[in-house]
Amino acid sequence: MRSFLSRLRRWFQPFSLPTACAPSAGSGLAVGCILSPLRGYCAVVNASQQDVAASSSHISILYTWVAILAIVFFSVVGDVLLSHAMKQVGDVGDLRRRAGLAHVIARTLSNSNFLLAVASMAAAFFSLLFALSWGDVSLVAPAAASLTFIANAVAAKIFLHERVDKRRWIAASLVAAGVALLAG
Amino acid sequence: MNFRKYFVLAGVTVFAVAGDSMLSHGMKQVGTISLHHLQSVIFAVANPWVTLGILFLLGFFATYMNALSWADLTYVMPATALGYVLLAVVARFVLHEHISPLRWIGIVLITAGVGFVAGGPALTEHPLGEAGRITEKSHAVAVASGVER
Repeated sequence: MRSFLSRLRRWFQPFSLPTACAPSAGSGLAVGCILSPLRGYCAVVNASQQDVAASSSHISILYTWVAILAIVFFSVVGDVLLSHAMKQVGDVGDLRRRAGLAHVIARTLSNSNFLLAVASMAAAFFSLLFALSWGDVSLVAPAAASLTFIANAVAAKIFLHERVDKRRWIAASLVAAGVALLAG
Repeated sequence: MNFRKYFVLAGVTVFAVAGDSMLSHGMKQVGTISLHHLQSVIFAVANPWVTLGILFLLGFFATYMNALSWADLTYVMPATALGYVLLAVVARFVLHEHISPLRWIGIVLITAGVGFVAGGPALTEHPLGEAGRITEKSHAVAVASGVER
């Protein structure tokens, strides 16, 4: 019980995040603009916090991976819902020419899938904060980004019925490998 | 695919990179914010770099949504990854940072991946309309009847 409480307390301590968190493949960034004041935490680099994290290394490795999987899950749900929402809205360029920008905005904001997508991206952003408070940026950012690319391709095939042909599988794998190398 | 659509995809990449770099630069100027002084987050927004970064990220989100309205998710995704390449190129040629061979390999892989996708169709055509669920068979029919672009 006590260890649980101390863990809980550790959660609510300021996160120790460097700002140079590599862009987490779109969705994290998107919510970054909505929740960007939270990136204030990114500026908190506190040596004593890093000591706390280092003292329970295997628990933090497990937690880091759970949080990475949470980032991937929420980013994929967010991207799939956003893509579905925008297909429901229709080609934004054509719609704007026909009915005006105000109509496009109203139509998008009133789409429930769009609102769910934003909520899911917010959850992904919070998971990123948690992951970074337990793990190193050099692990979290590339792992989450490249897994998101692969998982997005799978989810787009299953849920959006996109034709993910050999060309797109190769592309998703190349990009995932490239991101892992680049951010690692 | 017309010129406007490539322009939107380029916007996704550029806005993401510019927004994130500006936000990062601004937050470094603002410095440490602790949980006990959360109100200082509000002052962080007053930093011009942070404000610009937020505006650019809003631009990113708008262009990303625009792209998703006419292209598949699996088509737009690689375009967002080009941001990493752009970031590395800026780091090398503007900031004169050293880029390791492993990172150059990463850049080549991402560029190759984007090239692979960009050559194909942007959108899966669903011949049955919005509610239509495409199958491999109906897709073959669509290709045969020339629906697929």
